[in-house]
Amino acid sequence: MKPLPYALLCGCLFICILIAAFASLLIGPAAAGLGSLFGKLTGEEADTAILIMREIRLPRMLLAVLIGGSLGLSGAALQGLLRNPLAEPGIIGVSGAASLGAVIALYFGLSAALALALPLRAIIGALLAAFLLHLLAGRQSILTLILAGVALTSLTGALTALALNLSPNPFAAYEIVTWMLGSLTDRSMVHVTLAAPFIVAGWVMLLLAAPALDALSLGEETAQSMGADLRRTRILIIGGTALCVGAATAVSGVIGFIGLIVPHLLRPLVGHRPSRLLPVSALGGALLLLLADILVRLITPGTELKLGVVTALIGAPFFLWLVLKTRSSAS
Amino acid sequence: MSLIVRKLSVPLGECHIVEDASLTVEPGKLTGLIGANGAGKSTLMRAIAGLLPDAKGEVRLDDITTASLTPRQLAHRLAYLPQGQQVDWSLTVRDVVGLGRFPFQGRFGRPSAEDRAIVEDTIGRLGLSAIAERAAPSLSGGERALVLLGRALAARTPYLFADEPTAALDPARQLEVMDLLSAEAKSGKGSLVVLHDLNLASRYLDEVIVMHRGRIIADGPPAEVLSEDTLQTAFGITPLTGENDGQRWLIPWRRT
Repeated sequence: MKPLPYALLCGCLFICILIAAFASLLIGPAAAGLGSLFGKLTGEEADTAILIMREIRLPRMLLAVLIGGSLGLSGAALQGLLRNPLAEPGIIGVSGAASLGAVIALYFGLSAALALALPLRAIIGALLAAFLLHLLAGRQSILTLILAGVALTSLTGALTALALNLSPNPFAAYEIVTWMLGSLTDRSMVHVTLAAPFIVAGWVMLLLAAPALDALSLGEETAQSMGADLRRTRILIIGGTALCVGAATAVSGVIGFIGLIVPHLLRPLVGHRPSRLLPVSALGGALLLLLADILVRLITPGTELKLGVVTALIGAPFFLWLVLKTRSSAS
Repeated sequence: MSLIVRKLSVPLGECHIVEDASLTVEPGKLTGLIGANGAGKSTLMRAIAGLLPDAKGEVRLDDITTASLTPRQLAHRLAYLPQGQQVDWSLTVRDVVGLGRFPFQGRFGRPSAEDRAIVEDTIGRLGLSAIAERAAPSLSGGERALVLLGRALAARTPYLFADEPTAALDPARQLEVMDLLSAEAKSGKGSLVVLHDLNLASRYLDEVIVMHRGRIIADGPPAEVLSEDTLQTAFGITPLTGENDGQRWLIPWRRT
């Protein structure tokens, strides 16, 4: 595939996001579509339609953009840092730790006492994981970082399973499982304002690390000899991923595959350059999650499928197809 | 003005991989490091390039201690081409050569017009124009080695280090790379290369540094240094030598 002009690619993705965002405001189980908007102009059923859009669909749309962008961006950054196309935000244990933090809040019933206890716990969990990762592998090789991340992921997974195992009543277990499936349903502007500062800070950190990723494609030692500061790059990417994916997991639960697939899809379009892949993966992630969230509302309007289930259901076979396709074209 | 290394040691646990190495790389000369496998050539080169934090000793680059330079400042003065390098993503040849300009670019990594001109010039000089848009990992080993050398040359640093730049290349490519390095040195670059081919060392190098078990055992022009005695100690071989066009050729003939 030939690389597209960079500005054109970014522009196209941006316009698609605008269209999808608009569609996301109009589609849903409640009858508040385009017709009701016109209805407002003629004076009928105005207030409910506006209320539904502003209070229910707007936060949902904003979260899809913020979370999808975070997953795409951090996926691209981690693939660049670890020099491995299979890397994704889940691999370094940050989303596992965020998820565990939320599960602890659910387990002890903290979220019943205080609605924000769950996302706050999750963010704290993600930051703790990043700190632990830095202590374990901050000065070691990239391979140590991956191994530490894998260990952290299985540990948080085990602790989450323990919480389920010991859960005081079936309802708590049900609550934990439902949350872990990942969804954007019934989130409010409070969730947006809680997550947005962390997410934006994470984006800034990740984007600052972008140029060094190009140098890293020649290997760690060469990058170092070219003056790239690997320590800084690593702190920016692990820290940035913890902030934005931690905050994203905190409000939506675990949403898989976006961080893996989006950079894969877009890489040929930017001439395989890791630094250029970062901004377009943020745009691509936002677009994909918006579309997936619209799809969820369209296919099963009654009992809504969970978003995390849908991304994994579509993502896994698609990823397999992608792998087989690139392998056959390589040979 | 030269690169001076004094009493450089690289510890590894109880022992040393490189011990008490002192040498000089002068601008305008092609200096070579030779020695058997495990003699410490690559380690010495990496230590001089500032890549081994445990190294002890002093490296002065044009009268500045390299320890006082930031990695980026050092990268403005010295380009290092490691052995058998890979390119991780399917970057084009032009992008790989363009990475040579990385140390000179700002925080957002945008190439200037000068950067672009240097990259095009380097691509032209190495004869890579026809494959400039090809993906680097899809090239043959020889082409890729040339592209990676192009990356190091595009940095236009006063000093160039290359670790076995001719390894795994066919004979014509080996001569091509040595001609290039020799031309770079003649144009004023201080160049240090690790070589395994004693014949190339004998023909192309201006200065030869012989390493044996972590120490430098001989240092000087090839005609003096590549003596039967030294080669016997360093490699355990007896060479066959002769002369052609005023150049001395040398091939390893039998083990001793």
